[in-house]
Amino acid sequence: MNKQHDILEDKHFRDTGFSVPEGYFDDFPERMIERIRLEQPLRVKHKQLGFYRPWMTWVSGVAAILVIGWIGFRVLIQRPSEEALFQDRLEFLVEYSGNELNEALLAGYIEEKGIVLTNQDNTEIDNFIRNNPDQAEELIYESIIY
Amino acid sequence: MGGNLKNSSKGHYCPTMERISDNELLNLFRNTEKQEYYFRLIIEKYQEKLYWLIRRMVLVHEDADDVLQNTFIKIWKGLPAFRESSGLYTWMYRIATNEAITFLKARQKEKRQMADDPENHIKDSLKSDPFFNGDEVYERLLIAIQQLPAKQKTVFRMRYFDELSYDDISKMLKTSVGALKASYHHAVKKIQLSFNDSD
Repeated sequence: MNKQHDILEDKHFRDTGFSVPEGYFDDFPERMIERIRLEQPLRVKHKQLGFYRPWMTWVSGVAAILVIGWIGFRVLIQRPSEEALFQDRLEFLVEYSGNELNEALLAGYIEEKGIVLTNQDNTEIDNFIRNNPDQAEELIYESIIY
Repeated sequence: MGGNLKNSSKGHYCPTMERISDNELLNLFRNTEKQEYYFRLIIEKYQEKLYWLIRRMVLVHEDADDVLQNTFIKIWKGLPAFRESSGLYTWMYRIATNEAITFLKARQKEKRQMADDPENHIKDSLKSDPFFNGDEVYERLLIAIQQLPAKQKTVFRMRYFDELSYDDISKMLKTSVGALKASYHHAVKKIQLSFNDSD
């Protein structure tokens, strides 16, 4: 049978076979937005409460100065490192990979790039990620996709 | 921005999709308080592309619908941190692909039949889907694709169904064009072989 040749050449064939319920794409955005509202409520502006008193403005102002001062002090003594920022990105990548990150595959990719790992345990992989954040991120992308 | 707005058929204002670029959409999403509104525009712009990408992987409409929703949830959560090292669609394509793979892996664990008898599993799934109306040849093509190794499967789908260029696939999968051509070639050969075997 030569049908497989036709199938692989025929541009129209690839678009047949599947359909969707009527109006599916018209309704989907609204359904999606509804779901997003349930998943992660968006920031809403708080209405002014009935027990508001003018002195509260002063108190909250002083509190804000204290909080900003405290944050500034923390930033000075504990500046967020590149590593911490990378860890955030890494956590996001792992999260969106559905926790399916394949460490063995990642180790394979690392070796493929000419980096020798004496034993492919988690500590060594972890060290590589910390020391080569940009390169590691690319490798993680690759290991996630397959 | 006002110049880009027109009245849509659904009675609400939306920017003309042909005119608004992904970068503009991203900027609008990030720099206004109407994130929901601009996210809806992103959904409207890409829902069909992503749906068909997912549907060809999971085959059944209900499953594709679930995976598409999960994909947009991940996109919603990830957009504020999206670093634009790749294009918006490339990034969403990866998320959709990963979501579909995750779904298939979870399904595989649930149903041992898939591992034991993938051909009948796919046939049963397609039969039970009221939104599948392909003929026997199409069914055999889908079965042949499902049985390809992961990388060949991905490359074949991107070339055959999504009609992406090797250059685009190369950027998306970070694989050389030569390696992609080899993967596609092997995939086609295996599909042809599977048709010959079943004759």
